[in-house]
Amino acid sequence: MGYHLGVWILVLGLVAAVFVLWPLARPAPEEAGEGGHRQAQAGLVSGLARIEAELGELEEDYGAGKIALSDYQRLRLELIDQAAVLVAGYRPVKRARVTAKEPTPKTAVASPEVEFCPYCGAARLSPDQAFCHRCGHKWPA
Amino acid sequence: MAALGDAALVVGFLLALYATVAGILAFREGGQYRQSSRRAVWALAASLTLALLSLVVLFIRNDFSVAYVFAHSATYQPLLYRISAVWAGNEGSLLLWAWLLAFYAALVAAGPRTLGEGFHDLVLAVMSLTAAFFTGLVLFSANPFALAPAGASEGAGINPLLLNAAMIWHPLFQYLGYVGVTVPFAYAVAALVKGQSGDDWVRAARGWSVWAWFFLSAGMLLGALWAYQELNWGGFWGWDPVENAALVPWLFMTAYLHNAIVQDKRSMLRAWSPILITATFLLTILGTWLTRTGVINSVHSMINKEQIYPIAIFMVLVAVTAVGLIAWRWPKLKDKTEMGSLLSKEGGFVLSNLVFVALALAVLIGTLMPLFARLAGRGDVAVSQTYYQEISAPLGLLLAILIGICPVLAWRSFRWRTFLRAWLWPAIAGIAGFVATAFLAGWAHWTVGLAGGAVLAGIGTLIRELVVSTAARAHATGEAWPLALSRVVAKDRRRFGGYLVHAGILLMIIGIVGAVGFQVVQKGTVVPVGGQITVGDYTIAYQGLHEQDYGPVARVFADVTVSRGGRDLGHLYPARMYFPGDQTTSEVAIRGSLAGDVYVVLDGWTQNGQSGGFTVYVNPLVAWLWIGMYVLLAGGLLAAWPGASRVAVPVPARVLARGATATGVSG
Repeated sequence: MGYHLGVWILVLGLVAAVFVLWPLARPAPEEAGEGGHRQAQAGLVSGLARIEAELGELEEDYGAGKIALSDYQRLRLELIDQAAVLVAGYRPVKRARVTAKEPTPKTAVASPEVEFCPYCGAARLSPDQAFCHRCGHKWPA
Repeated sequence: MAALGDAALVVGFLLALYATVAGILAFREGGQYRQSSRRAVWALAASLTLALLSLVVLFIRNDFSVAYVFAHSATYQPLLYRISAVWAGNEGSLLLWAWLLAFYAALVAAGPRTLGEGFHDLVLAVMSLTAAFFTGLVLFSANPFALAPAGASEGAGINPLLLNAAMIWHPLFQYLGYVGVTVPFAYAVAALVKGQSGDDWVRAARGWSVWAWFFLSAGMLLGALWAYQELNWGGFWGWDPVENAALVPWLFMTAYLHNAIVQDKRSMLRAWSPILITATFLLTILGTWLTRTGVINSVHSMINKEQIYPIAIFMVLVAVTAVGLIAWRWPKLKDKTEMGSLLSKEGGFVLSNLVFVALALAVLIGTLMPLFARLAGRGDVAVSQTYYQEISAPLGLLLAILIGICPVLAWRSFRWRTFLRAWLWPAIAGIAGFVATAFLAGWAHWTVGLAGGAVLAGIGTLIRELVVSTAARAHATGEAWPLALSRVVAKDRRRFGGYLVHAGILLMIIGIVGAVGFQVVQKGTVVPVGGQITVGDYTIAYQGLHEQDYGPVARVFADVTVSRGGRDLGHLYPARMYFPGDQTTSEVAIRGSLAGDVYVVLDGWTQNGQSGGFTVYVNPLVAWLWIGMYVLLAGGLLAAWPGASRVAVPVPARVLARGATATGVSG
């Protein structure tokens, strides 16, 4: 069994190693960042979904006679207020419109070169800035 | 074939270790490690599948050169039982455990990464580490591919008690449940490490959790069914450590599922979720430690003392890490919302959780007591069934009462008047149930009356919930009642699946109270051919003894007739089976009905069968236990089955308008 075991370990090990280590031999895939803005969006969506679900529960409880009318009205307004607060606290990001090779008008006034973040459109504050101050993405080198 | 299986185990172990490291690197660095860790998990699953298949083939071919096959198979064993013998012993069942874990991890690796790439890298790392531990355990202390000392033409055969259909499925389901707990546990660890200790991880792990609970339930209940049909002592639950090792994690998992509902709906009880799921995970490991290592005497015959320390060290490391993580993230585990009222639905869930945990801890203490006593130098101490019955009866009754009350409670608020109006009919059903049950059982058994009342109140509540929800939908949409009913259930499978589980529990309580509280037994009665035994309302008449041979297996069976009140209920054939190697089993004969079972055991015979010795049990209402089991499992399936998201029934505009008029607000 010892010889056969060694051969099988070698064969299976080689196949597994090639399969598993293959991605390490290839260039890293581009990955979407998990920036602050994306998290804020996700937080808003999950918060609103939770409130919607709670409203559904509340309405069902009221429809099933488990909750008094005055409580139902009070709790419903509380939930709507919570949703309003969530929406009010969200700051949408103005994205820069990126168009392919927009021709510069010949009459344009020459201005100092300003870089804009390709993700959120915020201007680069200084050439030394490594990350966007608004969304946290790395500035291209 | 044994060499191939062994090699697959070695490679699987290395892959599990690599997947753990790659998962952590993927969490820290991302990039290629992410792909590589996922591939490692899939390769691990493939490798352990190969190992398991190799063992199956060895059993099918009855290759007795392998020690494990020799110990658990024989040429006379039917093919199905040769395959189920793969997990009949310590080595094979541990391999099954490791394989299921790799299989779950492969499914998780292939699934959606809704909580972010880094989160799922951690989930896979935790699962891979656990798989590495179990694969290592198989490889280094319970290798099913080890060779037998010398070639043999016949094996010792499976333990004859395991020759039962329930024993084919019971271990599979039990392990699917035990191992399935690892997924939500890995989610909890990932959430704690990443600081994503909000509610999202609980929602993402929900499907995995409900399936794990379903399999835990199926495994435990099939085990009870096997014990009833096979162990000839007239009962279905003996409070043996191996049974308790299944019950305690089930109780914690049930508490976790209830907690997850509150966390999902109200962002409350956040700290409970990681604590409960960690406890469940640890208890699955503790259960296997208790029953595999022989530290506590059990009906289980898998004893491997080599595994005492590895499993114990693994448990301690998991416990210390989990406690450390929970302590580290404690500030983030604070609830976002407060409980509106102690008597609200949230309050009901908290109380249910406390009862589940109290019951689980009480059973755990009883199970571990012999170990504690030995460690304290008090010698062998046995905990009697009375202890377990005295703690489980009141707590079980409390749970039954909660099943009848909690669905009627509203989230956030409580008013007595509203509650009493909603609970009127269930309460009337409960009072009627109490009076009727106490009258039938005798007023001295008023506690049985309480159980009857709780069961009927609970069933009344569940019917009310179904009727009210259907009526609301039919009223709001104009749908016919049957259509409205089907859509109400289809659109909220989790809730109605849960209610079906509750109904199953209530039916099981009927069976448990009947069979445990009112069992009638007549032991060791010897009767001549033509003689009779009367037990309860039943008369058992002995007609004679016969023998059948199935190759090397002999079956000696008695022919008895059963009648009740002069009405013939047919023949029963209790038997004793004789297997090679001086192994014998007693095959009970059961005549079942909704009113109760007659359970006849052939103890022995004299004078070539001229007289037979019998033990007869009459177990009233025990069929309801098994009906309840199937209802519970159907409810679990309904709740676990992936389906449409929950959509609330719109409240009719006139109701909103009425409310607005009453309070002077709009919108």
